[in-house]
Amino acid sequence: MIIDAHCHLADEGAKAQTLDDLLRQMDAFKVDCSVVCPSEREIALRNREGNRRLAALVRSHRDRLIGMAVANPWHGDEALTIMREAEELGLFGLKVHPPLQGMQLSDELLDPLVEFASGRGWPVYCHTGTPICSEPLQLVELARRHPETSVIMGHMGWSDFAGDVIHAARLSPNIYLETSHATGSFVHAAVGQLGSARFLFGSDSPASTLDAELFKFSTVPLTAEDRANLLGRTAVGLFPVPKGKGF
Amino acid sequence: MPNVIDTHMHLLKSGLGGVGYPADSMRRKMEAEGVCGAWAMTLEGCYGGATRPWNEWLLECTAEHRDFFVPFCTVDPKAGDAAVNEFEYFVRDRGMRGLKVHNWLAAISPSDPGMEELVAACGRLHVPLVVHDGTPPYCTPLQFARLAERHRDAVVVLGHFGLKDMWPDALRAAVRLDNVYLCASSPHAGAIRAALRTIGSSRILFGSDCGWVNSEWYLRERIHSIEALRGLGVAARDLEAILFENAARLMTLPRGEGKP
Repeated sequence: MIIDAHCHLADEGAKAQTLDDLLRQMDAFKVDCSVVCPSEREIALRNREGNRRLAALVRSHRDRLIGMAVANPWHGDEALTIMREAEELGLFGLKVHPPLQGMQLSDELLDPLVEFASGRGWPVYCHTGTPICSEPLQLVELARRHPETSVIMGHMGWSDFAGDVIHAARLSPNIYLETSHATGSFVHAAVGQLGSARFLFGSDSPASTLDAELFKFSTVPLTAEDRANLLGRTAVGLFPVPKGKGF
Repeated sequence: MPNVIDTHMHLLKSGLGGVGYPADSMRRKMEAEGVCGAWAMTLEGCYGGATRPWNEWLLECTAEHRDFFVPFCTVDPKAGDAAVNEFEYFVRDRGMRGLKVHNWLAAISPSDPGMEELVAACGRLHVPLVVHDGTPPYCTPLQFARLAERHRDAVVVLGHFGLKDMWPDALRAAVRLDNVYLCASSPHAGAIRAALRTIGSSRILFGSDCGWVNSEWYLRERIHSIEALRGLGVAARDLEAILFENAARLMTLPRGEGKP
């Protein structure tokens, strides 16, 4: 059982990937369910448009896909309206991307959106690894203000902040770690420090590939229990994985 | 198994966390993954200060493996003329065949005059410069592009293809300057595919950046991340260029030269 907790469906830009391409890759690598996010433009600016487009794609494959909502916090009250609409469309979870949305991960500007997500039991996925705005220790600030919210550290700090990742996770137990772009050996070491129940497999496709992101776990000696947690069980606890796809 | 030249790897004397791989052990691990040659760099020397002992150490530990490891010199750009003299000595008199500078670790901007002289020396000596890039404020791709534009006879290898945030700038540099090469030592398939669409495969190099603890895991993962592009429609000839041919063209190994 494999759940990809982070990838993109986009018509344009660096994250362009069609539904057919994604499903083909999921089939090829036996991925049961994927959590999908919109394009970069839609994350940054055209939130409503992105949520609607994503919801339509997810609706056609509810047994395989879960869609995450986006709303730029600079929209203020309008961002909450966008989130309510996304909820009605069937999306689940909030995606936050500070480099695209123009704030720091620690910024209180995000609080209303995180509270909205928390009130519905949604996880909040946060891009990390980009200095000045998406650092693991900035994520701790956000996570500590919202201890009841499951906050996902996307990309595990993406190499430059590897030294901060384990400290950050220890500072706030509601932080989960998504593994795309992190090396297999780093994930292995972090699992040893934190336990595998806080780790989620993600591909970030098409920026990376399901092939490469799954292959890296074949090179490291994880236990069967750790592998099961990382590849799917943790995600089942955070997302409404379709029936029959759980453990 | 592919035929691979690794254009960015480190040999560490003590290793991070006290675990290092001697050259012969590292070679065996790399050969087991299909690597037939490697541009070898110190890591300890990249921090700056007294670099000569690290250059001597690298030559010593690779002495029995010159058909495999291509030793790269490391100097501290803050040392000015002394750095240039040290670099020229190790290339002309001691057989080193490239320069590695890690401006972040050495704590000096690429815009410092000391870097200018070193890039000029790379051009004079006809050896490539490999830099760490992708990490502001001292290692942005356009900082190195400025140097590459002023020294068109120098081959400048962006050692991480801009990493995750700055790869578009790395690619812009490579589009404008044919002496800029992109070392795909990070698993960003999207960036590599964008480069293939704009500059083709001839200036994309494979690098693992391995040399750390559990290097064999890491190396296997890095090579596979390139091979996985085949599943996205990247042509086999482009993958061969990235994994082997481009590096072989830039730096013929003294013996063996791998399998064509």
